[in-house]
Amino acid sequence: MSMYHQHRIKGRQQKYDNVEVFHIDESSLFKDAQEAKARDLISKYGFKTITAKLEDVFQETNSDFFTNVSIDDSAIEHKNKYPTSESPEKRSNALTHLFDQIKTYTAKEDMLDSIKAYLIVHAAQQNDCSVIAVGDSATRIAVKTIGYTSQGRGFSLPLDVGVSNRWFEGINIIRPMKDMLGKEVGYFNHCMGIDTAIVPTFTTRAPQKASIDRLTESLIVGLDRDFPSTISTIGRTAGKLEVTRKAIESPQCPLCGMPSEADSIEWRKMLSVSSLGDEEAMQNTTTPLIRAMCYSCQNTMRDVKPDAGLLPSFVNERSQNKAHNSQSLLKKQIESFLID
Amino acid sequence: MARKCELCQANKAVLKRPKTLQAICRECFYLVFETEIHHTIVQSNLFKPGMRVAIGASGGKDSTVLAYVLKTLNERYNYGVELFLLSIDEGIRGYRDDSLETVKRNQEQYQLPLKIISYKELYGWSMDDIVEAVGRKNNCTFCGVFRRQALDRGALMLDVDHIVTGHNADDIAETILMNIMRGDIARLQRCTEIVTAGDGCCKRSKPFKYTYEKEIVMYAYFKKLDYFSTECTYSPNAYRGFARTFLKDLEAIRPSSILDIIRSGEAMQVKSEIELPKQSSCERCGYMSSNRLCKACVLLEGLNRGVPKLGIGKTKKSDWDKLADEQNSSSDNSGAAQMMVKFDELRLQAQKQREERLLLNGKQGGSDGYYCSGGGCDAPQKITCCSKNSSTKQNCKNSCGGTSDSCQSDPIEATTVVSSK
Ligand code: SF4
Ligand SMILES: [Zn+2]
Ligand SMILES: [Zn+2]
Ligand SMILES: [Zn+2]
Repeated sequence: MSMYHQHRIKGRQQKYDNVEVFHIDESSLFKDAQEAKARDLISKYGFKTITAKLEDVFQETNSDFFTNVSIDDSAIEHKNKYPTSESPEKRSNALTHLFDQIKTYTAKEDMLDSIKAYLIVHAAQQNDCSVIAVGDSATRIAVKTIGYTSQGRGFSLPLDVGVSNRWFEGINIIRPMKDMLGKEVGYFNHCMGIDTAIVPTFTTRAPQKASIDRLTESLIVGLDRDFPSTISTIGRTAGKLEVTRKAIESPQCPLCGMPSEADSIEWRKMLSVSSLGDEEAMQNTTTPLIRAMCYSCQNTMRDVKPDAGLLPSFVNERSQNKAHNSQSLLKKQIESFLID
Repeated sequence: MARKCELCQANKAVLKRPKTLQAICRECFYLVFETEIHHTIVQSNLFKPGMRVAIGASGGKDSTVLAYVLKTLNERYNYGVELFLLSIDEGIRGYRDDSLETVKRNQEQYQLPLKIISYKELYGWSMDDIVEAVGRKNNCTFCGVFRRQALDRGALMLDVDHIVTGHNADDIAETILMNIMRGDIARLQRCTEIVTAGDGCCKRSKPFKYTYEKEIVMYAYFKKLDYFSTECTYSPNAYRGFARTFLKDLEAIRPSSILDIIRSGEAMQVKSEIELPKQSSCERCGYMSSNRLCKACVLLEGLNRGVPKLGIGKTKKSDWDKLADEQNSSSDNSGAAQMMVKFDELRLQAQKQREERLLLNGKQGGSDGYYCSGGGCDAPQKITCCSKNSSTKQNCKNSCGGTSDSCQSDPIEATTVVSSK
């Protein structure tokens, strides 16, 4: 799948000075990932390639997070670059342990998405890239729109599926393939003789009801068969959703990195009374970290067993660093998005 | 050993709550179910003391439970509202006739006044007649348009301030998904509003906005409430089928999904002041309409002329105008619609009723006290008393410190005065 490769494009408008390819190695979680093949394919693009592993998010310092790798194959090795205090094995164990302690596929997928989103933005920041191009097709955007809505992610949805997302300081995330259907992309690759690597997911070969994303995908694919305009209609709806001022001014969710509404816990408690105790007592059971998370990530955390061990280091970092973006700077960047 | 209730830790758990999957006892279920609805009502400021509230009652599970719960909560938390049952008789044999019997029993059981509005009486056509004429294709379009107007007429006849309907969380979540899939951004941003404007005579709201359908059924089951569970004979099965199925599957994967979708929908909502639509009114029946004739009148005209396609789908504005002009020029307009009481007439009657009630209550005012629910009074604790038709000053029953003449509002225009109990 070509979506696999997160193409990072540096520069402005259509003319970019420099294009770098960022690739995430997911093989610690997915044993049957075609990692070698993927790297081989990427190397053929002829761009500078940056690679990260999922377990990279489990380390004390992330200053030297990523390895800059040239097209030269032998250079795709980055173990020496990490602080010696934490061995790659330890990091990889922390990662698999965390995912073992997540009770549902839906929450596993969310956790994985959050980790990948962090890695991508971090890589861009480290490498002075001002634009991130991601390979979301129209099909993927439709699935995300319905799936995210179903998980209570409506607050940040316009950023999650929009054509251009400037939520992260100094970075514009664009979706240039937003109008191409998934099957068109596949057809294009086929015709052009472009080979792709298969990217396994938690629900590969799992039944339809294994996770919300999986269920949503089968809904969309099914609808598209019977009503071919479904995907583009959903895409149009998503495109019309506006980023609200309230979202822009909200703090960052430590887990997914998107804006987080302040009243999530109270809202849920009011409408889903799940204890007879007085309010105070209930509030104390919620840690400040969970409280800082967005509504949807709170859903995810409800599916994580308490003894999950460490969360990725960035979660703590973000929760300590309250100011996500310097507001004034941010506002300048997003002025055209603001509606009063 | 039997499993203990996760909430009170005392009674035996008898059910797994669909919203949270907690194993709880019957009493705790009632409590959390009712409390969440109470939270919704308070949070959204649905009611004010003295309000007259009609419950759109179909005899089905949603509205039956709604009537029961509202009556319970009104007593428990002293909302101070007066409740009524308002039913629409679409004229569907084997469905509405039976369900109306249920509503009539509910009237007895809950001791609430009941008003029934029938399509046949109002429009001259029952749904049975309509289906006979148009077939099973657009029947729900007719039914929906006619119902909306019928409800507003009923509200005026009862002179209520507010209509509550039994739309539940599942319905709302489904509507959100449908609007995204249909690309209807305007509806998407409106469909999560808990209160919507009616015809200008009253507002509508959905106290079950966050209440799961499964829990409504459970509540009715445990409370042994008397409801009618048959589907409408003319209900098209395929309608919204896939969205419903998707929602059920989602709920199975993550029970909070329905609530989560509503949470998302609310975040997409464009906060709008509930304003009464600045629309003109139908030249024929006086109902609000953006065209010269309202949708109901056009549909009715089609039925009466034997061209039921009229008004279905997209109709050009010029066609509507032509229709309106024809109406004005033809001298003998003897269609059923012409006999429909105009909305202005209904409004006048409602106002008269209001005056009479005021007068009646004014007489008892000395002992019962006065409340004002309109005009400048916007919160229960700020209520001032008013009774311009009472000769003596009265002290406010709400002990707000006001007297009967400190209220600025005109008692006839904007106030409802009720006796405290
Ligand atoms: S299903 Fe029956 S009651 Fe409902 S709108 Fe259609 S015809 Fe009317
Ligand atoms: Zn989040
Ligand atoms: Zn209990
Ligand atoms: Zn009319």
